Amino acid sequence: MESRLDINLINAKADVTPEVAALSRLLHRLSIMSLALLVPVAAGMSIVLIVLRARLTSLQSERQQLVTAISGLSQTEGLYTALQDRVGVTEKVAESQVDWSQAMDLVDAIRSDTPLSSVTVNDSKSVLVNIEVSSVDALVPVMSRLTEAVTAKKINHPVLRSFQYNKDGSMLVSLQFSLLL
Amino acid sequence: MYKVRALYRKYRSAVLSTAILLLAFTVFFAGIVPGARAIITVLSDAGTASSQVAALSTKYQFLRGLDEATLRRNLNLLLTALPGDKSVPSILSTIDGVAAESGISVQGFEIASVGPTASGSAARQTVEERKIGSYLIPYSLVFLATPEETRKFFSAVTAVRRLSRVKNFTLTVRDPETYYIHTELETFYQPLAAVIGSINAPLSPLTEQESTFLETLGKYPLMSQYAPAVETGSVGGVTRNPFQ
Repeated sequence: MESRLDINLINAKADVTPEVAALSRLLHRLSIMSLALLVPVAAGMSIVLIVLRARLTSLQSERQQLVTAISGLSQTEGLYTALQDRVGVTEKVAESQVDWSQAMDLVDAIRSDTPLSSVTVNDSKSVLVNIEVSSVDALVPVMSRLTEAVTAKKINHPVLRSFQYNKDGSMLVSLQFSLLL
Repeated sequence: MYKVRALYRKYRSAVLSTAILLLAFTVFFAGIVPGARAIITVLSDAGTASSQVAALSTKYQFLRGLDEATLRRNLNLLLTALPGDKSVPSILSTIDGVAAESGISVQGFEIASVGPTASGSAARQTVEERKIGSYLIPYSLVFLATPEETRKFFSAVTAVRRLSRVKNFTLTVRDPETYYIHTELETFYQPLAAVIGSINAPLSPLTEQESTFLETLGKYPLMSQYAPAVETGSVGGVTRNPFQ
C-alpha cells in the first residue's frame, strides 16, 4: 500500500512588524463594529420604512374615500357655506341700523313741554332741533337738560346754533348735538 | 504572482478588514443616508396625510350632521331679510306693511336709480357697500304721522324682513299731533356666492351669537309676499373655487 505524506513548509504565521499587527487588529475590530452597527440599523430602517409606507398608503386611501364622501355632500356644503356667509353679512347690516325712535325720545326728554318746531338728523347722527320758547327763562331748563344728557353720555358736542326773536315775542332756538347711539 | 500571494498571506486580515470597512462605508452613504431621508419624507407625508384625514373626517361628520331642510329654511329666512337680488317689489310691500303697522300716512315714495332689476352682481361696490359687505338701494319716503306713530315707524322699519336703515330724516311739526317727515333710507341685497371653498377648507359651526341672531331675525315680521326663496338645488349646484 502506497502512502503519501505532505509536509507544509510555509510558516503558519506570517512575519509582520508589531505596528502592522496592531493596525491589522484595529482594522479588524473596526470592521466587526461597523458590521455589528450597520446590519441592525439597516434592518430596522427597512422595517420602519415598510411600515411607514404601508401607513401612508392607508392614509392616502382613507383621504381619497373622505374626499369622495364630502364631494357627495357638496349640496349640503353649498347650503351651509351660503348660510354662514349670509349670516355674517346680515349681522353687519343689522349692526349698521339705528333705531331713531330712541333719538325721538331723547329730543322729547330735552325739550320736555317746550313746543317742537322741527328736527333734522343727518347721515353722521348729528341732530338739529328747533324749538319755540316763550322767554329766555323758559330756555334755561332746556339747556340744563341738554347738559345732563351730555353728562349721561347720551349726546356730545351740543351747540346753540341760533336764537331768533319772533314778532309775537316768542323765540325760535336751534340746538345741535351729536347722538351717541 | 508569488509575491502577491505572499503579500496577501502576510496582510490578509488587514486587507479583509479594510474591504469590510469600505463596504460598510459604501452601504452607509448609499443605503443608510438615503434611507433615513426616505423615512423623514414618508414620516412628513404621513403626518400631513394624517392631519388632512382628521380634518376631512371632522368636516364629513359635520356635514353629515347637518339637516338640509333646516339649512334651506334658515337660508330662506336670511334671504327674506337680505335678498340675493334687488327685489324691488319686496321693498314696496315692506314699506306698505310697516306703514300699515305703525299707522303712518305715506305721502310720497321714491327709489333712486334702481338700475337693472337683475342682481347686478357685476356692479362695483362703493366704499360703504364694501364695508358692510352688501349692495345698497337708497330710497326716500315722505309721510305724515303722530308723534307715537313716528316712533313706531322708526322702530318697525329696522325690525322687519327685509332690512332697511334710516340714513337721515327731517321732521317738521304741522301741529302738536301731526309731524311731516321726509326720510332717506337704504335697503340691502347681496347675490349668493357661486363658489365654495376647497374640499380641504374646514367648516366651523355657527357661533352662539350667529345662532341667536338667526333666532332674532326669525321673529321679525315678514312684510313681503315677494320673498325670494332658495329652490332645491339652486345653492348646492355651486362649484369649488379652484384657487383655494
